[in-house]
Amino acid sequence: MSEWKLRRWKKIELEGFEIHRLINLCSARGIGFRNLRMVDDCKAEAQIDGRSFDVLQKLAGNRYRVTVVGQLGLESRLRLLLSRTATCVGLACFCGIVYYQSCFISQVRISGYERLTEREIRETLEELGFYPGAVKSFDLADLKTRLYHELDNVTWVGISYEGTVAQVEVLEGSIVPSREDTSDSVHVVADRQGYLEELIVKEGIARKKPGDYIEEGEILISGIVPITDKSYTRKEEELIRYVHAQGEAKARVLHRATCYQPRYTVVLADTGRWIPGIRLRIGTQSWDSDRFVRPWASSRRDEVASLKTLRPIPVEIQLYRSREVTVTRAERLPEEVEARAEQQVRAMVKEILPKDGQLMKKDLSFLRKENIIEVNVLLHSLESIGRDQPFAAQNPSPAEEAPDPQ
Amino acid sequence: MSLKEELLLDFDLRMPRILVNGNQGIIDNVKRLVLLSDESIIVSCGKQYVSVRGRRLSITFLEDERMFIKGTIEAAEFYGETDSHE
Repeated sequence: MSEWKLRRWKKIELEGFEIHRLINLCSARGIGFRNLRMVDDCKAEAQIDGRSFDVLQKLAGNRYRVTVVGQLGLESRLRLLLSRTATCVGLACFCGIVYYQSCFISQVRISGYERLTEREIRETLEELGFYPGAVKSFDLADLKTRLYHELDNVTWVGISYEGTVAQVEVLEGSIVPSREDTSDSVHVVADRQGYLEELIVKEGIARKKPGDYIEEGEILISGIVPITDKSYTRKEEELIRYVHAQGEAKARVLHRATCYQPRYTVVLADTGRWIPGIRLRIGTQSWDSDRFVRPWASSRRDEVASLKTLRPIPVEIQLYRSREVTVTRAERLPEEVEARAEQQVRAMVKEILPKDGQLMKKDLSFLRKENIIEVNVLLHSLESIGRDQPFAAQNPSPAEEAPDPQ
Repeated sequence: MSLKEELLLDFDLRMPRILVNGNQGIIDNVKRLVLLSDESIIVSCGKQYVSVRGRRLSITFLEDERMFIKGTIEAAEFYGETDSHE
């Protein structure tokens, strides 16, 4: 029966006297019938295989009238569909849209984060080009590796697709603070130069006092501690104890940097003339009317309206006005230069200062040159400058290592 | 019934063979359609004729000497020469 459904078959009407004779002739030729029913004495309805129809017509001859009233079966339906060009084109477009849509990421779901925020992970993914609307042709293994390197303290990253939804799973590692080894003898020395502001000694002897200028490598807290023994029972070298010096040293450290600002700015003046324009982006393809119609040399673009959608496919339509402008040069105002320089300095502070650094003061000086303004920056920051420096405990040189009486 | 009789009954292709319930019936060994109407279907099976009477009768399937009838079947009758087995 299923084979019959796949076949092309026709619904026919047979008209004439003694229709059963025609049916017998057909049966003798191996032509099968389905749903054969007499409508009246001279008329019957039936369904036959489309391939047998020609034989039936020959057998019917002039005695019977055979009328096709319908085409049935999968093959017939396919033939009917193929004969309808508009329907075929519509179906092809629909399938194409569904397929094209499936090539893009519609949503990024992030889970598993604890200390990291979803925003941080999302921004990192966006920097790597993985965002809703991006093409799905990613090397996921490479993306995982890059994400692993970009995010701190991440032990495992899993990325998978569920249709067009990307599922990002992040597993963070646990941070175990390492215990400081205090078994060896060390000095606390300055790791950079600056003016000592604060010195808190936990173990050892202070060698500098607040206000002193410290050079890199100078001992701040000594690990050699003298023992006061008035019994005169010990030798001179036995009156020294070697410890793991500990403490906090904060100094005012100076940082110098230079940044540059343009001396002149470009001024765009509207002439009042404009033309409408459109920018269209479908998936990865984009089209801009500005490429073809651009009647003036300098123009400015003002957005009038825009439409951005992800479904069924990523589409962005932007209507704008392309205004003609004249371009002139003008010297920038000092306030504007200062405000911009302040922004640059803020960015610079983030880069230059260590994490525990605290900005105390900043000095800016502006030097105008031919086309640029040189901005010299002097930053005063309060920073921890101490680091451990191990030393050999045997045979200390009393002259070098003798504690400062203060 | 002897084995010979049973085999003859099973494999005789000119004997009518009919399986009927109230709404549908199957007739095997259909050689020729003699009468077809809304209320009666008569077929020749070679040695005998089978008549099925009822209401709104239609042939759902007719192929390879097998006929599948649908409709309200009220009676089935056999005509023609009697079988030698009897």
